[in-house]
Amino acid sequence: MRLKTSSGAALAAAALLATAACVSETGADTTSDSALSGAGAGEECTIDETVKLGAVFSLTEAAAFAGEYQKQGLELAVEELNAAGGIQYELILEDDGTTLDGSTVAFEKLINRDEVSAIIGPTLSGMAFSTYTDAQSAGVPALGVSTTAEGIPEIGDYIFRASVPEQVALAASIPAAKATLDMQKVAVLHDSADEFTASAYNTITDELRDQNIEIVVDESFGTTDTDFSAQLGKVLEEEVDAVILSALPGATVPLVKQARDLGITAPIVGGNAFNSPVLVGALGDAAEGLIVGGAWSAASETTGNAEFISAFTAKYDREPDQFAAQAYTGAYLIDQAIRADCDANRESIKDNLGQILEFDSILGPISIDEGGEVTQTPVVQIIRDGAFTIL
Amino acid sequence: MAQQLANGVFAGSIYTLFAIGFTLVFGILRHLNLAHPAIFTAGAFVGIEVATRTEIPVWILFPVIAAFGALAGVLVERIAFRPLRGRDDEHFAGLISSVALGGVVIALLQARYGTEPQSFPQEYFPNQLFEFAGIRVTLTQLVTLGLALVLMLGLAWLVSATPLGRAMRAVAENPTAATVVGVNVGRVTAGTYALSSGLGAIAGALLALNLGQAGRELGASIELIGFAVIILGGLGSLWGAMAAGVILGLAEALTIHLFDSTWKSLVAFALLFAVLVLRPRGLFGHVKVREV
Repeated sequence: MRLKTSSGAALAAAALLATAACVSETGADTTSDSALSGAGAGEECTIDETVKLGAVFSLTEAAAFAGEYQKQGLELAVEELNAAGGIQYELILEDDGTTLDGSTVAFEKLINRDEVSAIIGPTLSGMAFSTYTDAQSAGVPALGVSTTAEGIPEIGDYIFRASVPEQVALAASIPAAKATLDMQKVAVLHDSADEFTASAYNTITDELRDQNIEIVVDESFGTTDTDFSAQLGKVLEEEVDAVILSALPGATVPLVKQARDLGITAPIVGGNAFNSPVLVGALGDAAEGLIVGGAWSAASETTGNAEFISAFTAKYDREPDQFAAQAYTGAYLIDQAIRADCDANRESIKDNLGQILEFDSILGPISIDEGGEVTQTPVVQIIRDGAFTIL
Repeated sequence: MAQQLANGVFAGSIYTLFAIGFTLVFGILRHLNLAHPAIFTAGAFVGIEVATRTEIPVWILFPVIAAFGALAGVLVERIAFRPLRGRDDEHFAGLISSVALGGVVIALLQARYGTEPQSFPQEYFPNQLFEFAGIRVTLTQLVTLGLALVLMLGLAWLVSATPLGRAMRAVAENPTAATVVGVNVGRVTAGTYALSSGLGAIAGALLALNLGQAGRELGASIELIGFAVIILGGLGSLWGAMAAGVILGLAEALTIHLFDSTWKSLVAFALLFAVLVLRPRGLFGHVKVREV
């Protein structure tokens, strides 16, 4: 055990040194490549050189449930953008294996070896905190499409996100649930070991306090826990109007199923992580009545949404989820930023990503401010008869 | 409170089923088979696949899983332990090779089933809810407890009262002497692995049935607590593992009830340390290390 720890520490230290070395060697690369800027503007923009777009997702291990959808959504968007003409994109996709090391190495490769114009990803907020620091110091614009934790756009002026922060999604779903369910007393269950769910937990308690809803059970668990009977036993001892859950999909499925098995019939309210058809499929009847706040809904009548769903379903033989929709939108946002000045250099993308105003996307009108934060109206849905319905 | 105690007993019965398979191999052969958690996970996945494809009833499914586990156990012994027999570092090398084999098994599971967790078909095992004196239990929990009790008692009877059990105890006592008096050590070894892994595979499928799904980390999630059960009960002691499984299940449930779930592991492992300091051979271990 000791051997493992010390060698792990040595590896981490070596990796740190290596990263530090890379960063100091390269510095912020502000030189521009004239071949990457073209003629015309907006829809008329034509760039001769192929624009390299990098993406880092978790395609294997724990977060693969999201990464696989993101990859498919992004590939579909790039295919459509290439077909539209004017600018040709080359997508360079890296898998971080749901590890911090993997994510750091992938960013390093895309930034220095592939010299991409911009990076989409990573999948998890926990990794973004470290990889975005690298992107920032190298001067490469990075756009998060699922990184919803607090503090991500604040990392620097090259960092943007098109994923509604968990606070916003929950802040919308809790009042909506209160109005529908007359919530007075709730149980809050959260994964205290994950960055994303822990930051959501703070939002949940704040929002509940603002809405004068009493928390009668407050329990936590770990990301890899699978047996929740003890926590649910506490919920059983109280009369609650709803259970508010902040968990990743890995824990959500067994937790909701065990809650229903134990006879907990109270509605369960959750955030972004609930928003997946896989969840409904895996839970079957137990998914009924789940209330979900998120960035996208298959039921939304936003511009291009129906076309997106049918193209995605035709290409991949499964329905898209929110992760796919956000990654898809991410590619269009970068395309918008490039077309604004018809320039695919890193500096120009950075300047224009922060100027996106009310872009009409499948997520609805979406804006990104200079600070890199997204503004978008979240969608609150309830699962009825096995389908997401807007609440 | 009573509900939490019941939850603790159910959780403990799965810990016990995992742990007795492990401790059986150690007690008789002194092998630390670290591929056991992987076989446990494989039992869950194979159970789900067989249930999905054939829709055979549960009482036929479990013997099928046990047979799969038994076969896997024999293979584990052939691949990870037998080639090393007679080497000076036999036990240590076996430990390493079983870790490697466990990794191979998990990789094979990923190749076959992908990275997404798998679950039993929706209607496969209708989960009824019972209520006794204010305690809610599900049919799955009752089946788990019942099956665990039957398997544990069956194993205890097998070891104490059958010819195979006598041969096992002879090998545990002294393998060379057992060979001299005509015990087929090779067959006893294979039989021990088959029993151990059969129990492990059933435990995995039962856990998946209780949780509603199985991921590749199913075995890893129970591995540490399973080892704690074995050490708490006394390495190699069957009765010790049974008692310790329930004790740890109860300790975890009570911790969550009285304090907070973040203290769960801390209390369980603090208990383990306390026992190791006060009774280094575990609650039920004797001075003689090897026994069944």
